[in-house]
Amino acid sequence: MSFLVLNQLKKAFGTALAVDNFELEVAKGELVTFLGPSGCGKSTTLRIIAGFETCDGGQIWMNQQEITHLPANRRKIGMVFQSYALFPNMTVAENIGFGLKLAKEKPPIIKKRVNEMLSLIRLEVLAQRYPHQISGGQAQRVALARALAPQPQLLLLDEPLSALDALIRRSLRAEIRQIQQQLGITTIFVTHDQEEALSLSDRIVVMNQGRIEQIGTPFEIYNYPTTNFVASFIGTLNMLPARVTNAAKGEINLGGHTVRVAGPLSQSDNTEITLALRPENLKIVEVEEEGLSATENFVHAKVKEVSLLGAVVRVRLSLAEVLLELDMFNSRHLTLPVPGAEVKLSFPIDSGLILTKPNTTIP
Amino acid sequence: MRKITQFRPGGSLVLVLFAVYMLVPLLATLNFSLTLGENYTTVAYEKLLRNEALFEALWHSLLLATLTVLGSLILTLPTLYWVQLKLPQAKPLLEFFTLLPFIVPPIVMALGLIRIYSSGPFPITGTPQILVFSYMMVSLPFMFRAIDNALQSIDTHTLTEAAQSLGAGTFTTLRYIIIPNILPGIVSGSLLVFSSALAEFALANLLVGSAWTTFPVFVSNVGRADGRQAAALAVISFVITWLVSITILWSANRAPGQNNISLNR
Amino acid sequence: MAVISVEQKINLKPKQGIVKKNLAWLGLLPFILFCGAFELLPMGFMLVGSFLDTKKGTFTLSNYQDALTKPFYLNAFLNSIYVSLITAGVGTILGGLIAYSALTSRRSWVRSGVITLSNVTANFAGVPLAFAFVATLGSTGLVSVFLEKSMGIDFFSKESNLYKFGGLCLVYIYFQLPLMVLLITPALKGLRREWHEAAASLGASIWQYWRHIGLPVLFPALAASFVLLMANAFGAYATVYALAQGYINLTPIQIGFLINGDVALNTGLANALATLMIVLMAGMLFAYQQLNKRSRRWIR
Repeated sequence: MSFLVLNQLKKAFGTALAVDNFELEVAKGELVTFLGPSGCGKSTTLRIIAGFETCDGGQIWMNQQEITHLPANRRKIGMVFQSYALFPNMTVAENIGFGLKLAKEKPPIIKKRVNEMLSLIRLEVLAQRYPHQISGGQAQRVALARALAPQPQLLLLDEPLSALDALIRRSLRAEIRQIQQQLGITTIFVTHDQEEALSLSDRIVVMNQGRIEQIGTPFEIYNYPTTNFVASFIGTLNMLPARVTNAAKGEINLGGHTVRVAGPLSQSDNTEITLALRPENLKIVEVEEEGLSATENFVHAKVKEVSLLGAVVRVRLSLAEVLLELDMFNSRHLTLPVPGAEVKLSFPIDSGLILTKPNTTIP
Repeated sequence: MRKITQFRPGGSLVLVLFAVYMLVPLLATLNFSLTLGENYTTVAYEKLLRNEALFEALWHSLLLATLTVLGSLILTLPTLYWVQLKLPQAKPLLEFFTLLPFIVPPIVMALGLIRIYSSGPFPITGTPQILVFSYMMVSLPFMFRAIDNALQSIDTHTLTEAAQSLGAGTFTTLRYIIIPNILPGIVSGSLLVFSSALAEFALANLLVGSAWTTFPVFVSNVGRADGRQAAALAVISFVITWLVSITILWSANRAPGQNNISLNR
Repeated sequence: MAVISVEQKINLKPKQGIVKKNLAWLGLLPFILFCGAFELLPMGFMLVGSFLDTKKGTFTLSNYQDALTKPFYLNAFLNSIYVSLITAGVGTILGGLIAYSALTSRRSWVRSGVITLSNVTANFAGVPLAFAFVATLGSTGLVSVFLEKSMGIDFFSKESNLYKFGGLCLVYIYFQLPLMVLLITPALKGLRREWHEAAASLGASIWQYWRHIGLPVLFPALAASFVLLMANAFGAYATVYALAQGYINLTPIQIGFLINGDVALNTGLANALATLMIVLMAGMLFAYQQLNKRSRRWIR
């Protein structure tokens, strides 16, 4: 049986359903991320697990015990907040030792454990500082140490990196993952940042409007989205209006070109659909290579704009009236496309995703 | 299980008792002012309304409160702007001066003021002037806090530099840029000063007394002679306090970060 | 033009800077003059006057001797201290509880209602408040009569208790409570929900949270409010003047008598009493600062 089992959790605020039928099993030592836009219910779910919110239905099982009605202070769950929530009247060391003090550990043991935690987060020199004397990144590491010091069964992180600036966010992200794996602690991480979720999770739970959209590894979520929402929420997507021309053969009309998508389509002929394509699946090709046309589609487009994003070059193109983006790897030997030039694009026939609802939002 | 942060043992009972404690004296006073034996009567109010001294005292107090607000603004606003802009190191000195009236009770200040201003070059004891000045002093903390908070909530330096780069002088900057931006704070502070000047009794009684009767002094004089009129005057005072407080609350809501506390002793 | 002005700044700054800084102090002149004339000068006169014989104008310590040895004045002083300590203490504790109960209420009208009520009643003090309490708890007051008729409690009648010490405390608490609610509300709002939740997740019970985090964090605000309430009651004059002139012996009333009374005009003694009041207040402030030393380490 899994270490943490969430069974049909429900929560409503007034008439608004914040969490609807939430079902999840988390294995011991796993890091699971709840990912979704703000207001999707991810934080509420986390707070229900922590015991800060009551749930209107369902059960929570941890380590074979039901904890649904256990008060928060007896759950042995560590929590890290977006706003750090360090106690302002205690030093860094006192903050970290607070949980052990409550557990009535002896002072020498507390001291030893606090020092261990301080070296784990590499902040030994700040032990006697007060929270207002340290930076945001340091504060969040202290908050992590404080949550871990009493050796909780489960660690919850509620958007722990959102208040930090980009550089610290990345380094702390790696540090959290490293510490989590070193201690092997079961962890739930809430974020609205897909890059964060993709880079540090064992599994991701994508949520929208209180419901689970998809559960899977980062690879599955990114490459095999099962719902329109997941497809459009994760990564950048070109949403291209198209029309089904031959459903049985999987042929559609895209800006005057006939292109093929994998397998027969369930839609009937002449249905208006949206073809979703990731920018990195598009390629600019010199010539139409024979034999590849079995697996690739080829279309003509006009270069509008080229921008260098670092490791990636993003090219904006127009295909008939439709605008789309293409990503290619940057390198010294790359010949950049010239705005105004006519180019030929290719994309694998199985890389397109057919969305029935015309979905126009690209996050 | 309840949300842990909603823990409030006996909270509702505490609030009900508070409301009773605050409201019973008001209701009792209203009732007292309207009864004579077993019968309802408005005789106390009729007597008061026929008393011209009431209206004179009210007029005096309104005039006094208005002049105090104006004087306090003229004294505080430019000084604080100047300090913020050119002399931030003088701030502790100003804070000391605005702390004094909090520590030193009006009755104590009255002692020295009588000594100094009864004779000599400025014999203003017994005139409204001394009340305007001493009220400005007593209410300095309220005006100072309100305007200081407001000035700190805007970027005075950058705004001034922007105005000056467009050719505005100090006065123009203050008049057209700074004041409009801190107006909510000015209104909030002015109302606090106004309300404390309107209700002040100790200084008015000791420094001026019946030579120029203010409303609180009138209330005291008339009320001590007639209990029913005293109750009626308490009711009228409460209505005035209520009106001013509601205005203060309303203005404070439009000036975030302003508190609305004045002392009235 | 821009270039020239930059050069001017660079070249002339050292010389002009000092002159300008000194001239800048001139801008403070009106404010300093005002505070000198209406704060420092009166206090100076009071201090000097406290060492002068009222009639002869010679140096003497007899004013202080009278103030500190004559039972009449000593009692006034002690009464003033008791009233302010008791009403500030009750005000701080109950006012804090009221504000906390209001802020944590789930009904928004309760929250705004308590704040509005506090605003109005905190400003309703002085003479009118005294009259209101006479009408309520005086010998013919509504509540006194009600208590006497319905329960046979002759608590407030005839030599009414209102004019005695306990009654005075009731009146003072009437304005101390709402004042405390207004003073402590911002600090209570500053207690972040996450601190409570973080403490709970570390195993803290509600009491442990208040003992280790809530109260220590609130302490500076509670102490400051207590001192302010104390000062408020200590200096209060109008309320007790209108309520019980002559019945209750408090220092502000004595000072009022000594400078305004027809019988005993003794400004020297009044000055000594006033100086002692200020010394006591300064002592309170000092004690407060000492108490706050610990907290100041973690306050920004």
